[in-house]
Amino acid sequence: MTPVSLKALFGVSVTLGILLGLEFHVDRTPAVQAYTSYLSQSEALNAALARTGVLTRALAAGDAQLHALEEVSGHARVGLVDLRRELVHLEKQAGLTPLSGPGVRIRIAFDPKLPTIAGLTSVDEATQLQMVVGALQAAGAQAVAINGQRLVATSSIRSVHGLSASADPFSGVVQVNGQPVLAPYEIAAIGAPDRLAAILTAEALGQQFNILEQSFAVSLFRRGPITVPAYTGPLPGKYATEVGM
Amino acid sequence: MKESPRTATNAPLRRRVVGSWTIVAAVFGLMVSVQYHDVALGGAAIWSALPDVSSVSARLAAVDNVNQALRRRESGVMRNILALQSDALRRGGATALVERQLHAARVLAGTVALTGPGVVVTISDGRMSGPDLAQFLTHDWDLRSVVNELFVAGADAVSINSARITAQTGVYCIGPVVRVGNMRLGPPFVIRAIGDSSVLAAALNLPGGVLDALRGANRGLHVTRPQQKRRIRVPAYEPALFAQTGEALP
Repeated sequence: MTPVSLKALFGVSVTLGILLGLEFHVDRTPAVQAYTSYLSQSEALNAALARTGVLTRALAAGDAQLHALEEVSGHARVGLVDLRRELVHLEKQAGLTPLSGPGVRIRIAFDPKLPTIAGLTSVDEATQLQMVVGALQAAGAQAVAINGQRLVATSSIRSVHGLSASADPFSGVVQVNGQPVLAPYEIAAIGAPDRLAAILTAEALGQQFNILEQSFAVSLFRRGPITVPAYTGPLPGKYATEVGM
Repeated sequence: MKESPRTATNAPLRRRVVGSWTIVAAVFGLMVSVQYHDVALGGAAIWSALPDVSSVSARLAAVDNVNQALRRRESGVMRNILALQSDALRRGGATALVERQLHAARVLAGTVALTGPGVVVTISDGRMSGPDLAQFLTHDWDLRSVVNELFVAGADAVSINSARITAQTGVYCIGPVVRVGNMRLGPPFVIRAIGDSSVLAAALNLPGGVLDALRGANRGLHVTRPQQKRRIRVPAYEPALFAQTGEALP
């Protein structure tokens, strides 16, 4: 075989190798599918990266708590101090301490000047109030109270029919946290005031109350502070056990 | 021309050498193309304008592995914490008092997963048989009414699918799904509540109560009877991955 033939064979072999590499390594997914997959994978990647941060912080908090408990078990006073610090943090998150900050205050009151739906004699006002609270929470409210009753995870709002001889569709009394709360209702919420007000407008909650002869006045506290009290009702945990105990 | 005996002897060897070099050259070419794709271009495909999905998938798999490892470490730490907490409660004193307060605060804040007796009820959309589609969908107020009733009946903790209800959890319809806290949920909605299972079931089964209202003829939602369980699990509250402004939370 001549040197020229050898060079040609070498060139052909290298080219063949490149072609084989391309054949097995190039993604031949259709463009639309590729872009869709790319976007969904990128979104999943961003979420996974964010979750790494959340998990890292949770792990750091767990490590700190474990350290405190280990010190307590070793009769070190500093461990108890750390546990109490964690308790303060958790109580704030759970609604067991008062909270102040910017927010909104909504006053719902009977107004006979407003129109009402003909023939409507009663409305489940607890459902109406739950709707307002749900909207505020969806808009990022950190804390909500109705007539001074702080709402926590286990809170309930319940209509009490027949306890009031009210002239309007509302009976004028509900139970919040099992405690009677009389109209007019004042809902205080801490959070970004404009965002909280915007969701109330977007859901047309004012109009929904107005057709039930209820005025719906929203006051914004941009600089605040508006204060919601601490929850003082019974604490849960009689039936629930923490996983792992 | 006659081949010399020496040339004739070397021919097979020469053919083998040429064959070997051919294979080596082909493999070299293959390696060059793969290497150029994967290393020199950082995974980008110059011969394709399409996005490089495989590289993102590989990164996703790597990050998922890291997250799994973090979860394993976190559950290990939690086990140790709970063991020490039980120990502290047994020993009594100031630590036991703080631990009891911490337990109540954790349950209320929703920061820990819980187990206990309770009930499970499932709500699914109905089948559309009339012009008013909205009647046959499960709405935020439907879920809120059931959750509210469970807390009226004394539930310790409630979840909807994988979302734990906390003081900040809004249940709110956003188009085709219901947002519960940070999670977007679709039907079926499995509501789990820990508490006195007979009391919780009785509250839900009240004639004319919340479940009867959902089963009403004009709604057509599929609502199961509350199942009383000796042990159910309610997940911990999962914080938002992103702030509402779109930035990652600190």
